[in-house]
Amino acid sequence: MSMTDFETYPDAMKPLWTNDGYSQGISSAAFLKGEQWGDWNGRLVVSFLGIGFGGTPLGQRINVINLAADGPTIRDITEMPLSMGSARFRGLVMGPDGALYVANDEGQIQRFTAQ
Amino acid sequence: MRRAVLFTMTIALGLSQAQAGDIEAGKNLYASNCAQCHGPTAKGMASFPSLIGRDADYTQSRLETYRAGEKVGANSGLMIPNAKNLSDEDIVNLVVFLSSKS
Repeated sequence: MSMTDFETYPDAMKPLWTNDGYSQGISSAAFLKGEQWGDWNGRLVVSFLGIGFGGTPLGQRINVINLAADGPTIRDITEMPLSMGSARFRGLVMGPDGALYVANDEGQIQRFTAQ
Repeated sequence: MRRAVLFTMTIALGLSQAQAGDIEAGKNLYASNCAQCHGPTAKGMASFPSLIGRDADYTQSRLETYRAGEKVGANSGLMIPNAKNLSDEDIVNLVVFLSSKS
């Protein structure tokens, strides 16, 4: 389902990414920053709440998106491995310590670091 | 007379099996069908209610109501398709699993 109504607003900005057309409750996004993230330094992380309703696959993941430095192009998208299992991820924010702090719908806040 | 006695025993056996339920089967069904909204510990999240500490009869009757396609509450549109394919046995298994966590 496209969020942007191009019939009414033909000049609207086109989305860089459409999640394969799925509505899966995209909830938050942040840029990973710092050498501690290795290859993931500068990657965009995006979280999903989706409960998997009406034939839509379950969301509940964090994607890691590699954006080209010189323009709005996506080079690659991967899924973050989650050692503690999946959840309804609600918020992502970089901490001052260089870790990624992740809030989920069960009221937990988890601290993610690169291995 | 003998036939009548046998009949009564069969009914009694059927009931006790249904009431016992299978906690392990309920746990597996919960993990695959319910946990994504009600949470891995069934304590609920966002607009999805906790299922812990509920009366077993209440949980069973709610699931049967949703299975029948009847609306009760704001999330009926989510629950009706989820409950549609549950068997009586599935419902009892879910109820005994949830009761065991309370």
